[in-house]
Amino acid sequence: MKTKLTSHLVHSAESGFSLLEVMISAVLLTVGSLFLLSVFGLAISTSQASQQDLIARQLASDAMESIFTARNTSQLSFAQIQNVASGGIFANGAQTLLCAGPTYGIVGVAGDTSSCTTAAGTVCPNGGVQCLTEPGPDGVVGTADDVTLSLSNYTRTIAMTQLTTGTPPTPIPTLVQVTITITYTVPNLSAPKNYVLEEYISSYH
Amino acid sequence: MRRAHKLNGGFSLLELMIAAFIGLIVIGGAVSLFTQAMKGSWVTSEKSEMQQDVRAASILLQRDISMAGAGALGQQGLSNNGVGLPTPTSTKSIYPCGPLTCNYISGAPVTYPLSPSGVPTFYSIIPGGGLGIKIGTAAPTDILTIVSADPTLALNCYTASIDSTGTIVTFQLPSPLPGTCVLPSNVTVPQALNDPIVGLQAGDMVLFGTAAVAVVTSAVTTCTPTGTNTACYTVDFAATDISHINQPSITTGSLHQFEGASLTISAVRVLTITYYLDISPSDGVTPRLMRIQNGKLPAPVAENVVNLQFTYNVNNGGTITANLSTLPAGISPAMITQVNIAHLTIRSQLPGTVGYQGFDLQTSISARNLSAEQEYPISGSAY
Repeated sequence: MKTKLTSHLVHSAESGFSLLEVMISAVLLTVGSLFLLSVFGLAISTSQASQQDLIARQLASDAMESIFTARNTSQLSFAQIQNVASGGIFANGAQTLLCAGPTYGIVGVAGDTSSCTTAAGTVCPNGGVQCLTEPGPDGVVGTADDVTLSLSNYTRTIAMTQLTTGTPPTPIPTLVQVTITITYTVPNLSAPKNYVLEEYISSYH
Repeated sequence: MRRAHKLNGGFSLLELMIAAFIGLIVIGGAVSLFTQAMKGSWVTSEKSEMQQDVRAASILLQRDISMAGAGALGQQGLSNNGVGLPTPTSTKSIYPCGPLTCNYISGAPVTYPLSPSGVPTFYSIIPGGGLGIKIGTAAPTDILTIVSADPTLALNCYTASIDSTGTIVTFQLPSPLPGTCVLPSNVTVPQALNDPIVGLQAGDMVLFGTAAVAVVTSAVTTCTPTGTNTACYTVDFAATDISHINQPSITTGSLHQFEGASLTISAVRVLTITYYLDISPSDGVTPRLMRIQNGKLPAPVAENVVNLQFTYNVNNGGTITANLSTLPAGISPAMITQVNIAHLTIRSQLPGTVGYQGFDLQTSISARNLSAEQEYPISGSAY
């Protein structure tokens, strides 16, 4: 009886987990690890999004530079640097990224667009929407495995605002505010992102 | 005996096998997690390195291109028409040139573009469509040269006189200073031309008015100022110049045209910057974006750049043409109003490795100093 008691006590003190307990904890650990895996995926897609941010920045500065070029060369009258709704030439609202047309050579002009081409000179997919030519797995441009990345998930809005001064506000005829908004969708993020470039353009060169 | 056995009893074989199996699954999961994490961190670091390269390259390119024709250069007429170089029969002027050689691009130097009248001309923007190296089987890449005035040296405060051989120029600092003299900010007196940092050095390009470009060929020496002048320097523009711009035997486009004359127009130092691709000599594989400034050794800007293509918007007397990859007959580089980076394609590390990615930068840069000049050509004025 004494021996039996001792044996019971020792056994109880050194008792481990049952197989069932171990299996349950293993399953829990696996599920937890799977969540960790999805975090890595998120990290990668976030770094992918940073690339999209870089593209958006370049697209915005691209449009702004061409507006400045047009102003500097007096190719446009200052009154033309307005949206169509205000008597200018720039399309109202969000536009897909088509390339500059033959008349003005500026992006975002209503009715003056052309198809973009790849590095190889073929028309970009999705109706000629601006596309990037990446070198593909072999690291060389101009081979069969080149990757064409269409920027069809981007739109560009060029909005001009007439600035005013004093009370009652009177328009400043020599100064216009230009707001370029690039809206784009990134994978794993349901809401579209925006990149906004705001600049002022004066009628003086 | 039986009790003792029970007390010290281990696992049964079945239990051990189940436990080992579960342990294996758990370890396997951990290993795959680790591998995924390693792969993820590799892909991310590759991507960030690639983006750093793109950013460095695009910022430098955009800054340089937006400076094309800037400074005294524009006012001295370079932006509108360019400066005619000597027109020799054999040794043509070439670029880009470092201190030792001009063979930086594809092993062969490039000659300056011809003006509509057939004269080799020094323009603010010199397009080089298809003049770069070929990477793989693709079409040849482009090169681009941008010229702007160097604002760090007040060379325009000096008067220049050229000796009878057309190779030695004596710069004197008049007192009072001429109206053309514009000092860099925070500088109160024009710097000495033999200053070791901002002074003239062999390989520097100097623009004389609108009429000539010359290349310094040796160190600046001092001389005794005459009259009311307060400083005197002698600068050699000898025919030994490796870019063959100094050609004293030819009158047109060389300093020969000014022989013995004391120039009333000021001189200015210009920076000539060329972008091109090369293959890194250290491994013979990695393509790099290179930037060379006249007289200096080329410097790498970004590695793994596999394509470089530019297009140009031009204004030909009010007619705009956009996205020209090469300028057709009748369109001169002086008509360029905007430079478009059509493709600056970059890749991450070597092909075929894990995390291999590519990126293509496309943007435009207004040649501000040129496009405003086209409407307001200022002749004879400095600044």
